[in-house]
Amino acid sequence: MNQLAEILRQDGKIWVVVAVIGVVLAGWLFYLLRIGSRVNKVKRRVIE
Amino acid sequence: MLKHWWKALTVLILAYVFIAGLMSPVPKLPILHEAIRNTFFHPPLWIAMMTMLLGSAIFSVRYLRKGKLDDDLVSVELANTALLFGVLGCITGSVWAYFAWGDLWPNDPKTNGVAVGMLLYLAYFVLRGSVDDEVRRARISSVYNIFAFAVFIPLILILPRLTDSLHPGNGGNPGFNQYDADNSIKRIIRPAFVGFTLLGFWITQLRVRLRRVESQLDEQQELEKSVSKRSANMQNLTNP
Repeated sequence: MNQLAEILRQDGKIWVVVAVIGVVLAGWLFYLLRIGSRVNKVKRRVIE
Repeated sequence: MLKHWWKALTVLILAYVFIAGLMSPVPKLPILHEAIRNTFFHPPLWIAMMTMLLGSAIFSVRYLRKGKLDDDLVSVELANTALLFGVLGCITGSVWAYFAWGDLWPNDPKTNGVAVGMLLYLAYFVLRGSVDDEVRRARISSVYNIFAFAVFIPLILILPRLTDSLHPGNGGNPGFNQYDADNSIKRIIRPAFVGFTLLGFWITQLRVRLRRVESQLDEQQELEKSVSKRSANMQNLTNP
């Protein structure tokens, strides 16, 4: 954990920004994937 | 195509925010260094969340006035997406706070207020899940939603200003904020507020459309069921 924190602090803490952007994008992606799986469920219902 | 102009606008704004946010020059500050760029990605999540919660409260009022279940559906989905943005705001805030303030969850009035606010909205979903009747669920949760919003805003916007907070613009007079926010920040953070909010509405719109299709399917299935039942009854009557 400490080592990771040290790496994130390098280069003027720009890696902290990268981590934050990563969290935001991953969160959006997760939500969109969940919507996608729900669309699939509806599709299956329509086919039946 | 013309109906979707705002989606194109969202893409453009977000592209600008992410590229300029990483590349444009920013003020040199101690401790923060490059982490100041998080101002382009962390606060807009909260602005988007608050706007969507306002929308959710408005649709709750609309439901109570007009009684259309569709308004309730929009209200729930807005709250749903708002909660996603809130969770992301919490995580990004945690990461940033660890490197700027030295703690994953600093004992700050704003962070604590937001924790209470998120619990308020989690209770909203628990409340919805606990009522089976559709109309009653919509009515009770709409009333709760309006109250939740009325508590949430003081918790995160007003109370932190009355005490000292680590967050900028809180504690003391936020009206003087114009002197300590640099133009290079404003140029990106303001479009970011709009872009993140628009994306939130976009995602919500997808879910609302999906839910409408689902409820239509439910109605159709119920109709088919009742029709087949009736025809079975008729057959029983005609040839016993």
